[in-house]
Amino acid sequence: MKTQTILSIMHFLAWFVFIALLIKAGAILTTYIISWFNDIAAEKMYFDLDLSMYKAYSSIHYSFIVFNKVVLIIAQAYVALLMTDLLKGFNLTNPFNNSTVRLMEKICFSILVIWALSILHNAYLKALENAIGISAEYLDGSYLLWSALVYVLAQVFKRGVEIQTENQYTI
Amino acid sequence: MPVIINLDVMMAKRKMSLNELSEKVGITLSNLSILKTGKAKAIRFSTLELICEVLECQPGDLLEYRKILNN
Repeated sequence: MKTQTILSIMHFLAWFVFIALLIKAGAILTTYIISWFNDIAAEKMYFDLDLSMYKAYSSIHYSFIVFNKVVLIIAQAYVALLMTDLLKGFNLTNPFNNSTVRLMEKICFSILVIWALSILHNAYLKALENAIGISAEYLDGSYLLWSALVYVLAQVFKRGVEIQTENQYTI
Repeated sequence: MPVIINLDVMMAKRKMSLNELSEKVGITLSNLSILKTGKAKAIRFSTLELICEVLECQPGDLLEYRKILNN
């Protein structure tokens, strides 16, 4: 009962995170469009996100950074959406099923994509920092670890499905 | 699977229906159906014992090993 309540709260939180990330991506894109007409907008892209120095240096670099950030946020939102799917269909009496395994594998590969995007983002900012000296805020690189963790869990669930099926068909 | 369950053969010999066997053995119809159609992954000794008792047969009468021939 307690676990079911925690799962329900997590389901709600996953939806909340998904919507929040979509709003964030939308806000950054909107500010990006506005920044083409008003340079001040680039100073406050989203809360403290200030990309005005990149815009002043080069519009191409600025656009690339913005799009990289937006794609990254959309990928994170996709993971949150997969989480909602996973938590919606989670059945504690029969927890091991193929759809859960498939969802976990999807989450794992999506986190891997996020890791690749964050590496690209960080490398790009590092290169710009070296070239023009704009100090950058780097993204967290621990996504690879999370991806590996989810992959291991997916494999454990896969074995769980096999054991559960075997148990179901033992008369 | 090369191990075949001859439950239907034994039932026919004893002229017993699946419903009757289910009642006498105390196993649900769906579980007996899984056993009869060969979908079962394993069978408990206790289940085998009950079926043998009701059908008055030996485990060997119910289980048979048939080698799969690969072409």
